[in-house]
Amino acid sequence: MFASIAGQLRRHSLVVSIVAVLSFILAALAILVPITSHNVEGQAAGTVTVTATNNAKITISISDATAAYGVNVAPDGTGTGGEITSVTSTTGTEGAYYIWTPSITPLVRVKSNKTWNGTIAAAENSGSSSSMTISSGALRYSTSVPGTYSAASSELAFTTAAADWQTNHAKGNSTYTFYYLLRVDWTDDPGTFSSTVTYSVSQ
Amino acid sequence: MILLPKVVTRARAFFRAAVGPRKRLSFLLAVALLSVAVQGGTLLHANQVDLSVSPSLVEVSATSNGEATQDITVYNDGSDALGIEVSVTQYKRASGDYSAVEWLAVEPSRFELLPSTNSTVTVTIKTPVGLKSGGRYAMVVFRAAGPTAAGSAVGVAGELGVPFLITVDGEGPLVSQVKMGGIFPLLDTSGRIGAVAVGTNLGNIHLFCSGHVGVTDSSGTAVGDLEFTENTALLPGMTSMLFTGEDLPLTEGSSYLLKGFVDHHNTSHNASMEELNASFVVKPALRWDKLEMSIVSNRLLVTTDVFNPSDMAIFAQLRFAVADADGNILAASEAMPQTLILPGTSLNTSYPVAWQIPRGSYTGIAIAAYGGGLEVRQTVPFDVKAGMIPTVNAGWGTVPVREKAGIPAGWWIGGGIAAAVIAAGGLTIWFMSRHKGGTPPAPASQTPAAQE
Repeated sequence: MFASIAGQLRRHSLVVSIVAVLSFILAALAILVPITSHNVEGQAAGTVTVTATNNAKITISISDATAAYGVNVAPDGTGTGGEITSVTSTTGTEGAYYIWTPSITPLVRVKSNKTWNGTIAAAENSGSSSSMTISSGALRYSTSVPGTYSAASSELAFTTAAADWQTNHAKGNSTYTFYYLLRVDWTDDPGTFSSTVTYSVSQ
Repeated sequence: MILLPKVVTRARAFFRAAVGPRKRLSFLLAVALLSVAVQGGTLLHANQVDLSVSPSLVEVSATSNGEATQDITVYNDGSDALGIEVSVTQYKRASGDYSAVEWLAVEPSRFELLPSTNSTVTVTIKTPVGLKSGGRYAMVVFRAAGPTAAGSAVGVAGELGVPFLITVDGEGPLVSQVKMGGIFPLLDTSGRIGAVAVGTNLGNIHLFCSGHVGVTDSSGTAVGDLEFTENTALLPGMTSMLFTGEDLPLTEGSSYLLKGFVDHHNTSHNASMEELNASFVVKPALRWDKLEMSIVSNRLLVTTDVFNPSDMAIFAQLRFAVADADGNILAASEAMPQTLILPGTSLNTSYPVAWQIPRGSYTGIAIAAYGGGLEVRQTVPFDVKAGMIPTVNAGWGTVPVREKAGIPAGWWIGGGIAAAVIAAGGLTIWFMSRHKGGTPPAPASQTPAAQE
């Protein structure tokens, strides 16, 4: 029994010793690490002084973040589903424009207490139709619902490069409603169209 | 006992109260899975985006080989969880030597933001050695995107950019210099008159421009005082226009004087003020100097030159149309975006048009609308020698003239033969007239402006 107790004490002493050694190593590391870090920072002899304009504020709100055209868009203008609110089509060689209206208006709201700039860009189509591209003007936007194919195709086309949307816009609360016009022509390859329109604002 | 921050202990209490003991394991698993998804996988996409940041603009004074950090807090002000991506991008057109994109690092760069919560990222700014004095610029961008949908869909994303405007005091002087290109009265689309000032940053640091302008009539009586809207940072080498946020109903035919004061400043440099004057008569006018309709690469190209002979800067909107020989409008464009034409300058533009027009003779019509109801027209005859069938529908709309006119296809063939006979006859007459010593008819030229 005593041998057992002595054995336990030896094991206990060994554990205590190991713990003590580990504690010493950890303590040494805890001292050394900040010193090393300080030395790295100390190599930077220059100065950088930051002046943040903390009371400057800008917000962006998007009321409807998905324009869903559904799975049935077709050049004859018969596509339904998704969130399409109207379709303009022709009887000629052109196809149809599917017009998406945001479910809540305004679509975009920018609040800023300083003058601000804004850009708009659209990512190139990542869907399966290779001919329906942003660069060919397949996706356009308007501030009112166009009544004809011709009127729809006169509206501004999105671009993949960020295009100036607002330049030196006065501070305040500004709202914008845009309708997205997706063109599906008879010459387009069947498939889907997928993109993301980005509204970017800064002061 | 381990001491937890207050926020953690409160969250634990909330967790215990809200979730029963049996559900705790599944709840924890869900949180863990969400965390894994955020850190390494796809971010959540919200149906609505409401995003704000603070601070929204950061100015930095730096020397070579320096380092500092700046926290930026991003707020989800909406009711949907947002997946936020953070990146460092170019600010305005500050590329090359003016770019500080490589100097900034942001951590974390992806995270989830629950409704009505906020999160803070840390931006580390490290300047390299051996820098020349001048401005360097970059922007930290917070992005939140909408979800994708089945079939064809367009996601809508919102981005907030926080500009970092860094002024480096290194080799050489810091130069604060703006060259004002003048101040002009501005006729807006409502017919009222404000002012615009043009300035170019010739220094090597960014500046903010602001000011005001007083308007007096010919007797020296003050008519009004207008504030310029301060611009965003005017970077070195860039030209910017300052517009007044208000305007005045001045009397047509009367003379006035603008006296403007524009100051430019940033946090590192004191403001410097410049006085600008301009006298003018309210007599708005635009003039068509050129209108051409040409066929380039199987597409109609409209080339314009609209001159502003007045004392005032004018916002103009152009529209175009094509009429047939009987004067019927076959195709017409929507109004183009408003374009500013400064006094004594021209608006030179080329617009490719995707209208589908069969061969024939037409009249191109151009209208420049301005000043709340004023417009000036121009017409030019042009011929289409081969029917244009655009391969893509970029640009403007296509109007199927043939179907719109309701003319059977056979008529076009007959018309083509008739046109060929007429053309051959015309050629013979022209040939004979030359042999008789006469001169051929003058080429089609622009008609004078119908209305000014």
